[in-house]
Amino acid sequence: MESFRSFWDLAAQRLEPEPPRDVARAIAELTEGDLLRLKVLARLRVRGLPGGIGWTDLLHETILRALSGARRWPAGVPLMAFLAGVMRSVCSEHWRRARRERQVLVVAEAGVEAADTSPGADQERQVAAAEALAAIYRHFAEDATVLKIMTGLAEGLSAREIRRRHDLTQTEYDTARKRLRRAVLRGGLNGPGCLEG
Amino acid sequence: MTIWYPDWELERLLQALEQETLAADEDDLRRTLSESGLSKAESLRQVARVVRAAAAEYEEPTAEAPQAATGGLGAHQARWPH
Repeated sequence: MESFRSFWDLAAQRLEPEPPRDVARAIAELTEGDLLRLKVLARLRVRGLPGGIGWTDLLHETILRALSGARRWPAGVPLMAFLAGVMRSVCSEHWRRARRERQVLVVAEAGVEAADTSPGADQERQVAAAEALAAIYRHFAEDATVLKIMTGLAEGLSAREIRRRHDLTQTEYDTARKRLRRAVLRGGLNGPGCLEG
Repeated sequence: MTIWYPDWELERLLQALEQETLAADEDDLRRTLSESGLSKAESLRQVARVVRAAAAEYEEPTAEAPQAATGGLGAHQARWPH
């Protein structure tokens, strides 16, 4: 009986809502490294977003959402990983909003039946992604290591699996990944030709 | 929960670069950002300005509430570059 009660006590304890984590205080305590990280993340994520959204707009919206509690900061998740997730979700929402606005225009012009609401209707996002990927592949056409890494990532392989498959040392892998990240940040991913020159 | 991305291949690449950014040391980040022509101090000022503006916008509706309610974001003023 004792152990039965213990079980329910434990279960009740687990069901109790966890106290809200103080996002505002954690944000106020971000280090300089974290601030730089936020800028890099926002610049990575802002690629090709519709409506001319800049990285500062994206970061602003991310912080606002985190503070407002619109997105809950889960226990055990580091703040920066949480903010990166919020940023990702803000971007997805911008794409969805752009798609909805496009549908409204289509409906207004051609009637309700013309609106395509299937996931496949998100063509603008797919086209932007395809153009961005093509630009990256073109940019690294001569860089076999980066191409191997990109192919591995596209297949869902982990860093270790990619290194093993292509016999890359940790240093070769890390250096190539840095080249990739810096090129993407330098050139942005906003359409055809974005990484050229 | 599975999230469907219409641009999955690019999304995987971005998530990998995101992970790398989260793990990068400050020196690497500084070098990455300096390629855009901005110094570390300028980058920090930019980001701090954006974060402060968002915090101020969030605090505005409850401006009369005690600062403690939001953790005292005024701390940014003292800790981050202007």
